Amino acid sequence: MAFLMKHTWLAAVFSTLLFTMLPCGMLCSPQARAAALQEYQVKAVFLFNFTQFVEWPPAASPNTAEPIFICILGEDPFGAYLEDAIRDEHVDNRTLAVRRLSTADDAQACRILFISRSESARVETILQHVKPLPALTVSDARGFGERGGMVGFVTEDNRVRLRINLEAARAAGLTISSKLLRVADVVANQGASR
Amino acid sequence: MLRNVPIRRKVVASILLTSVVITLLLQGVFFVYDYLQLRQGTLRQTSTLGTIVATNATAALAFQNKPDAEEILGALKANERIAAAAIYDQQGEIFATYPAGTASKLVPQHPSDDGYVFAGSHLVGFQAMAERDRRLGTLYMDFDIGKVLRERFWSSARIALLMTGVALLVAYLLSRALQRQISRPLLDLAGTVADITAREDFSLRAKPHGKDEIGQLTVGFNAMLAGIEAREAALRESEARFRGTLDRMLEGCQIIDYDWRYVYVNDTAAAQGRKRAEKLLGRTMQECFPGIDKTTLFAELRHCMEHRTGAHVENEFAYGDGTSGWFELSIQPAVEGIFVLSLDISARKRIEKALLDAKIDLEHKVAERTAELIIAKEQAESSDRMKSEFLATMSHELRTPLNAIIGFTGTMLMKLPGPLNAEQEKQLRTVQLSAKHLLSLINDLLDVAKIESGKLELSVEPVACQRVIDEVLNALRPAATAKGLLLQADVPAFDVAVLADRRSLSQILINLSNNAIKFTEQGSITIELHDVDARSNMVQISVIDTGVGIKDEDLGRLFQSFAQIETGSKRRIEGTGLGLYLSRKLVELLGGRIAVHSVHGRGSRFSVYLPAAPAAPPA
Repeated sequence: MAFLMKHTWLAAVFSTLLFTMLPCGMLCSPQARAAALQEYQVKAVFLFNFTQFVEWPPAASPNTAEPIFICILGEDPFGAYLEDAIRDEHVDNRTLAVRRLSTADDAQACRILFISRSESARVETILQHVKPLPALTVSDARGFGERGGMVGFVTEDNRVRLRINLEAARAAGLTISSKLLRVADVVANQGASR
Repeated sequence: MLRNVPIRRKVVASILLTSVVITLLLQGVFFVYDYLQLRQGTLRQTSTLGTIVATNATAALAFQNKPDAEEILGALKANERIAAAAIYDQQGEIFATYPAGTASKLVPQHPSDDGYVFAGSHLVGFQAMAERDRRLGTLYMDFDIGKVLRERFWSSARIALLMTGVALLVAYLLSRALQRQISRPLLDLAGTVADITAREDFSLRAKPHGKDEIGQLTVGFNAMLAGIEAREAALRESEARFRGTLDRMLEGCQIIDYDWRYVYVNDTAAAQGRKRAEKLLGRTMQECFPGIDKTTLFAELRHCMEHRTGAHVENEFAYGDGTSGWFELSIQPAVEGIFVLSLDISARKRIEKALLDAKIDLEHKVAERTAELIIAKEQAESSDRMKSEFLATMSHELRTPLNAIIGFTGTMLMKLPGPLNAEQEKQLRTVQLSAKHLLSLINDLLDVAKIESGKLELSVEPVACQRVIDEVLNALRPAATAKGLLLQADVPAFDVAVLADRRSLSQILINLSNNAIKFTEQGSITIELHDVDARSNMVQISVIDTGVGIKDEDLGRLFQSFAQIETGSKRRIEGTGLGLYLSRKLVELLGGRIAVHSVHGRGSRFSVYLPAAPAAPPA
């Protein structure tokens, strides 16, 4: 294993060099802002990753000429992170694009609909509105899964964890990979379903 | 190393060795094959396991759920051969490890290229973690096959040991049964050889066992035994005959070994030593003949013994009682030491001694006689010389008064002093004839004397023979004509020259021709000249007559001085008896020779041979 050890220290030197050359915005910012930024950077990557672990029905965004849309409803917390995350990525040979929506009515072509924390108060209304659409609803609003949303982001110990409402996803005709379910907490409807 | 081991064990050992080697070789091949299979299997197994882990852990990686990833990796615990594993994220940073928390110790800090390699007893490598063909990270696996290898090795070794043991046992049992086929005939053969060696009995024969190589060997061995037996019999017979011959030989035979002991002595040899053969055999020469080691004979024997050479000596052997005998000894090196043949030559030696004495006596007598003869000869020669000198002086003295007698008789016959009556004339003519005869006698004597005293001077030069012959013919023609004889020459048309003294040649021819005229009553005298004989380079001149010839018994004395041959009852031939002697002497002085052929009553032929002149003579 000697050769691997040799490569290990080479790799260490290389990665140190790489990090010192990264853009300042990613490393030079104050601690708090850095944490917040990092949180949404992770969430942006997660949003893209859902495309890998979720099966949509064929009816979802059937126009293959269009890109696959990831939509943000409400105030956009990602900045350029989401665009960074999907840049040069393909799903089923289709490019991806970000669409920022002001109302839920515009969510027709969305595969993933991220509902911003700014819309936290109107979550139930929005969900009700997009229920017929085959879109994966995601939000970091408090108790999103329990409130009928499909995937909720929960931040614990500086880590972003997932809460998935399997029932809501099934109702929308989406299939969530068991591998995704492994790494997520599965939750059920509270209130609304009762 | 097996040289002195019985063949039975050699056969068994070689079969066992072969079996073990083949078994071990097969084990080795199987082990190597098993090892390669194991490697291949391990690679496949690791790759499969890795793929399962990688596939399962994609979500954990994608959604950064480290505990989940560690849990998935933790499932590898089920396989105790997996030493370590790790998951790296897209940036190549360690995301999760197995066993959890041992990051830097067991796994590399960053991933390398995909693929598995064997490093020592470990199989290590990286493989991609992808979801829908999208790479999310890298999985590292470290599979320790050392333990498996060790286990496999020991189990293989156990099996190998067991199989080798079984193979040995089976091979031993089989070879014990099979070796009899090979060893039985060989053992029989060896037993026969041992019997023959022990008993020295060549009439024994080996038992044949079939027709393989050993069978052929047995047949060949038996044939060889028969040959040896026959040869031994012949040898014994020959030796018996030889010994018998030696025993009865008239010559003494003895064989002496290197310690000077008599190995063999025949009766003759014993008798020669005045001993009995039984007293000599087994004893040394020094014991039997004390003091013999100081003799020259013993030294000779020792030389032959040490240098392995032969010798032939005659030796006088002294017996103890003061007598001695002579022996002729032939010494030869023999296998045992030396072989001596001795022949008693005492009798011969005695005769030889007597003969030698007689010879010495005779030689003394011969020497005495020779001395006497030499004196007599010297006296004779001296008187001969004195005679010649006397003759030379006396002839000269005699000739002087004769010239006066001849001269005055001639004058008187020419009737210058006065007339003569018939009786006076007749008597004077008798005086003249006698005086002339006396003169010629004296001349011849003078010549002989000159020759014998070595005072004759010759001037040798090329001489033309034809001219000399003409002169001789002219000089003698009157005498020949007076007797009614034909005097002729038979000469070649060309000149023939000899190296001679002209006067001497002329004298020789006149002498011979005169003789011819004298001894011929009717017929002819011919002087014949031959050409140079190319071989001898001599010229032959012959005088041939048809006269009385010479009897064979007289031919020998013909050329001696004062020898006149009886020609018949009446002795009426004039002559000094010196003519032929003179001619011979002259011819010899000129380097030639003279010869005669004659048939009594039919004629003679005198031939003179003289050296030819080297070139043409002066005209």
